Amino acid sequence: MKNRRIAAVWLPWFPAERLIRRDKALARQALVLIEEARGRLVLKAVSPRAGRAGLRPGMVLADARAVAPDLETRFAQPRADRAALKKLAGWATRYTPWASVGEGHTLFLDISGCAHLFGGEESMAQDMLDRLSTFGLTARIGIADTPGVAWAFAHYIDQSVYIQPSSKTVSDAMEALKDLPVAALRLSENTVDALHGFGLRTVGALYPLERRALTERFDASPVERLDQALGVADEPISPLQPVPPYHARCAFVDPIGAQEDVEAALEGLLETLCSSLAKAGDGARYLTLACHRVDSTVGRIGLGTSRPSRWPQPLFRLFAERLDEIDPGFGIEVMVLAATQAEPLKAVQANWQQKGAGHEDGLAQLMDRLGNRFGFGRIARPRPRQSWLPERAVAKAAPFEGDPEGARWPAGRDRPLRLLTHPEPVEVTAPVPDDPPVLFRWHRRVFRVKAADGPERLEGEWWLKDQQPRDYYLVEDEEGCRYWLYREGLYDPERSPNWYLHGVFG
Amino acid sequence: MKIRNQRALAGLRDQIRQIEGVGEAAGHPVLPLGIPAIDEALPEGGLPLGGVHEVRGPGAASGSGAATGFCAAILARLAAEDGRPVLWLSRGEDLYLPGLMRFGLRPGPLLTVSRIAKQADMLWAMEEALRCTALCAVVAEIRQADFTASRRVQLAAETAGVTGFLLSEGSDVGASTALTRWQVRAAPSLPTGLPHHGLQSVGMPAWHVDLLRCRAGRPGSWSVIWDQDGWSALEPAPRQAAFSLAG
Repeated sequence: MKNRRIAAVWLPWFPAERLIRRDKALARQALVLIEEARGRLVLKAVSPRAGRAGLRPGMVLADARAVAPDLETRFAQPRADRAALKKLAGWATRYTPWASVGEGHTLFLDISGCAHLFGGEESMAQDMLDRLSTFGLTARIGIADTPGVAWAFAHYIDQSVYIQPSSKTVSDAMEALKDLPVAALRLSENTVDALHGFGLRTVGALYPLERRALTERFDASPVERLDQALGVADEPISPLQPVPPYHARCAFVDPIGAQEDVEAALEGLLETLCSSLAKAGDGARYLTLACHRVDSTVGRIGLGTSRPSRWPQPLFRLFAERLDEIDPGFGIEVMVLAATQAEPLKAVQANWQQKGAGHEDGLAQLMDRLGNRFGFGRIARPRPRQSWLPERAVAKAAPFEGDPEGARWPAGRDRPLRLLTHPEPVEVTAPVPDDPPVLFRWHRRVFRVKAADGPERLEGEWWLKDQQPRDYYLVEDEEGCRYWLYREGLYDPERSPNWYLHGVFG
Repeated sequence: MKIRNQRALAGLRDQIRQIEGVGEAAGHPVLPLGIPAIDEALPEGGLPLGGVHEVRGPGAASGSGAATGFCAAILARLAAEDGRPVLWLSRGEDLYLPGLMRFGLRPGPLLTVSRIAKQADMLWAMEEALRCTALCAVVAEIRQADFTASRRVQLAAETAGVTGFLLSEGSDVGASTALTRWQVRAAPSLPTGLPHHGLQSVGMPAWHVDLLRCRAGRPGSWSVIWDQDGWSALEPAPRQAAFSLAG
């Protein structure tokens, strides 16, 4: 059996308590959430007060009114419930990154190796209960080796926290489950009814039965669920958000709010994160900082680096510039720093031909600062690319990517210093169709051409469709300014050609 | 001021530096531009490094082709000598590598950041970059340099010893703390060969280069022409501009 510890957090009154949390007045009444089923209105969920009055999910509304005449009814919103539960699972990542939503208003948390951070499983569970109760949520928590057993304990053992000691063998798990009802195996209602019909009421009653017989008579679910609960079949907790390969967390006894405290905590987190990156020989390319506030909201900052990095100081400076984006609110309780993208550090080789190796780091830090302010896409190391189309003749490499030396393109041809991203239409006067213009009008100004070279016919590569050939002319005006004009398309006596200005020379 | 006096003055400055124990006796590092006529006008025979220079290209409707070329040529010399990369902060996205290569700037040491539209962002980026000793030079394309901005970037450049260029289109001459202020305009190229259909063929690029301001140097005007061997001053400088500035 794998050494896992799973906490199942069951929120028995979740849909009702969610509404009460939004409208406190509802707490004073017996609140029931209803849905239509088989032409009747049936209770889908009830509030704790309604529960104490003897109302249960599944009752018909008319019967419920007979029991408690002053009922407050709302329609159930299973979708909104589900969404809220997912959000709650996001909140639960303060305990462990592996948090997911399970059946029947239950959260699963894979707390293997996390509990000691909270002083053990007992006090971790207590911490969860306390915090959930500040949200107005009642919870029951089961902790065991598998999600199945944890779920069964949370739902069917009437204690707010039930912890099963880590068991080494399957028979331990069988023993722990045997007296629980079959519904504790997370089976559908129909399957439970069918099992009851055969007099199979407890999980223990299933043990002596032949697996094949069970599968044939019912469906595969009882056997599957039993295997999962006993840890024979694997049931991973798939987290809502991808679990970052590296993360560090830091919780505060007293919530912090002052800028210096946040910075100090961040420095500590960066130290931890960077040392674990160093151990694995990796560097971070993208980092996120999540600040969990007292009111259960989360403030996040994400930032990228131009190359893998694992040096706390420069990373700290990148974060420091943006820390003011996080409003501490009533205080920050937990900070989680994660490297969501990491790459091996050694694989990166920059090719700056320079003296000291120290320069490179300084450059990477500058690129990071510029990249995080303007976007990494705007930083480039231009390099020549072999293409006849002027706008395709430059490739933009990332600052630390490869060596652009080598390619010589376009060899020996005069090219403008500034190439307009979009060629601008100009009005042209050319005395003879195939000759350079003697005059052109651009931005409502007239330029008289004193000297011209051309044409140079440039065509797109044959695989680029819909590209008209262009005849380029280098022209110089009276002041000596030089422009790159082109006529689009082949000569056609039927229509006047379109002319464009594409660049400016030095 | 006579060149002889300049030399004497430079010698005295060196002595003062030695007495004060600040810096090396060799003084400020400079970059000779390779045009003797211009280098003579500059303090200690070259463009002083570790400071900010302004290059303006007024007059051209299409932005500053000549001024861009002038910057590219200086960067090329600097990068070739220094080995550290240069950073070009661009307002648009129109800087074109094949054209820069024409003025000797190799793609190896060149890094660009494009589409920095706001002047405040541009100056922030320039200040950051000037503090980075991994670079040898930074170019920022701005509309108009104001005094505060130029002082801030000048301070950053002096601290780290990185050289900065403020490339602007404006023709207004405001106060500035830059080490030098240049104005570069296109000049008609020299005729080559015979006209064809009444039009000349386009010759080698030519510029009017005015040194409008220079700490410890001499303002002047030159005609610079580019050919296969690089740039050179075309003729004995037309001195009218310098005289008129002198009053």
